[in-house]
Amino acid sequence: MLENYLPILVLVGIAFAFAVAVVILSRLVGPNKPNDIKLAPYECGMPLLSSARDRFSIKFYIVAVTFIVFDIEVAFLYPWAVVFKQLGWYGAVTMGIFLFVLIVGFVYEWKKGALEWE
Amino acid sequence: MSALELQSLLPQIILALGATTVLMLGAWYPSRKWILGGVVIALFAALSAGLMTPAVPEVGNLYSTGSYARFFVVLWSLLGALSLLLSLRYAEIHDLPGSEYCALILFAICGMSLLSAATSLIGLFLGLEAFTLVFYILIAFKREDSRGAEAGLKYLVMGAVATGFLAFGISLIYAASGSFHLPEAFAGLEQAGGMRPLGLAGWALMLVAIGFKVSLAPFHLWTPDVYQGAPAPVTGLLATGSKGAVFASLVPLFAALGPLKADLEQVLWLLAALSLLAGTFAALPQRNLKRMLAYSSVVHMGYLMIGLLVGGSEAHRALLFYLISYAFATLAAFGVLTSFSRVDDEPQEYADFRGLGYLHPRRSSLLAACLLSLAGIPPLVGFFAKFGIIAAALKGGYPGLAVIAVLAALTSLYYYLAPIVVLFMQQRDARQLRRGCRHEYFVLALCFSAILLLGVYPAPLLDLLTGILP
Amino acid sequence: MLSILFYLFATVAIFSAFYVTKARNPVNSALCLVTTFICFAVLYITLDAPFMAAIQIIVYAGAIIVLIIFVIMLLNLGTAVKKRYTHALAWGAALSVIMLFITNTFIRRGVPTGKLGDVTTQMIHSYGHTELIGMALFTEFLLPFEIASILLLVAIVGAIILSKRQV
Repeated sequence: MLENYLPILVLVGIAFAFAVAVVILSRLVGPNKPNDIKLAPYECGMPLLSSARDRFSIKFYIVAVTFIVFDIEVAFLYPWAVVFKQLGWYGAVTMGIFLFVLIVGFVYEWKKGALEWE
Repeated sequence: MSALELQSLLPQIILALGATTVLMLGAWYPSRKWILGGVVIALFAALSAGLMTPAVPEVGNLYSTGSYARFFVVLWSLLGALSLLLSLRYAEIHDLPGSEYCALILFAICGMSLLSAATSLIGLFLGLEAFTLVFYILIAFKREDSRGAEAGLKYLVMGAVATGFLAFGISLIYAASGSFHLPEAFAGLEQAGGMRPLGLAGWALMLVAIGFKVSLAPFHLWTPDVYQGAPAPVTGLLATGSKGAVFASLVPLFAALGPLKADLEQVLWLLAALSLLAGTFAALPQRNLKRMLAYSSVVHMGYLMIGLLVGGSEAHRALLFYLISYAFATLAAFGVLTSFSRVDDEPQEYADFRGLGYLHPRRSSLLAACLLSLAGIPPLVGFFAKFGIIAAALKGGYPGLAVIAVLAALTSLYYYLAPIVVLFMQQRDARQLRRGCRHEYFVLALCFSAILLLGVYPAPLLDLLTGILP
Repeated sequence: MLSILFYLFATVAIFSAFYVTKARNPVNSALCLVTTFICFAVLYITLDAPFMAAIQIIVYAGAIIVLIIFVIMLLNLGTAVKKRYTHALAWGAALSVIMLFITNTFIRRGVPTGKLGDVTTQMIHSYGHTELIGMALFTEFLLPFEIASILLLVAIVGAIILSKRQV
């Protein structure tokens, strides 16, 4: 059972080794002559306007919270989907109740304009 | 999940469905009148719990539908209805969204009634989460108020940590016994007449979480700030319903624990004694009514803990009686604060109350009566409640705790009398506050008659409690 | 092999969890938290609980970290100034060492193993972990499942009330 995950482990190992190797090799082999312009963040050749560490708008927060709530809802859908055939109508009704409550929440959110970018 | 089980869970379903309906309707027709609709729904749930005979004794191995559970459904629904009535004017002057407020309170009542009916650890966890989640929101409900935001954040962060402790504790107990259902879960913890280490670790973690939720002494630090920052009617419900529901669920929990409780006795003793002492000493210098009530609630939780520690039906009856008397007096005290509240703030410093007794004699006297009941002055219900707990402690063989309890009760006179002195004995320089509205007067009168009637004639309630105890 | 894997990922989990509290840049803390979550996911896989591993990645390493990063960006915390050594730190360290000690004696005193349930590794392999969870969720734990939907609804309402300018 566990050997099914061996490719993932190998992939993780290769990715890790590659990342480490690239950093170390470029440090060892590459020339290193820094100046101010070279060290500045690269933004498509445009001069920098301000720091990238700017405060986000609160509008992003509501998007993030909505995402979490519906992500958790989706997490409940996976085990339902794999036993859907065994559960039959019973499963459809019980999941229907669950989804109904969440759709109420979704409609509420929509109505309140949380999905609009004011 | 059969139709019979659904019928047995009808009060909770009414609450949840009603809350959802109010939420939806309020999104299209925003109005503060929805709060009155919420009162009707809560009363309806109380009626259905009181009058209807449930078809099955236990729903899904999670929630009991016995008379004990139904009694608390009625109690929390009534408390919720009362605090909704109190909030009607408050929501208007502070411009709170009515339907959301109402829906959230209904969800909270639903959670409380689930919690006090829990017969399984997972039911306990879900019920507790259902109303704590609501309180995270309600405490910070006034968004312009920075103190409210601070209180909300404090409660959220500490509450989340406490939830983590609870979940971890439950998972350890489940790992040890292989069951969530109460008698089986605790039966699996036994080993050679004592509790297994795994069970002890689980209980230790659970006690931390419970201590936080009801603000027992080493875990009480959030209480004053949250009481102070939250809107007054919300604080009223938080102080009565949420703490009460946890204690209501602890009584069957400890009854199911049986003789294994002996292993926890020292910890419970310490929690009770620390709560009594720390709460008393912290309440003494307070000059803010909400903070004083917060610290005094820590003391009251200490008294309730004594009832839990002694165990047995008599001590449990004293505990529940104390819980009910505390709930009515505290709700009325916060009700007076609610009705005093102005557009910009709520008067809560003692300086704001100076001589207020002459400007608003009725509400001030009522506040005084509540405080006296909490202090345990004879004709009011608080006296019998305290007497019952201390008698139980003496009978149960805890003379040390009884002495601490008596001393705490005597000292409490000082901090309960201080605001009364400010109200009546100092010269008047208080500003005239607004007149109360009919709803508020109704709730206050109801609470006052409960405090007085139960104090004079407690027998019917005691009989009822004897009848419902498992 | 399995125990080597366990010790490898457990060590990484502990170190990255430590670095979550230690890192001065909050974004670094969040990234370390992702590492911790991924290590947990691996541990779930070694425990024959692949569904939990997937949920760990989807919900925790995905959604919750997104929220944490958003909050960090919202608050614009920057890097914390390096704190000097405080007595609180020493107390904390001493307490945790004592706790570790107590836990150790505690576990050795009794039987630390729990009770085995009905579900065996054999069953998981033949029937599937997700299927077993699905069946349990929709039969024995149906009511908690439906209550969870109410909790999610409350969360939606709370998010809108607390963050929307005009409700």
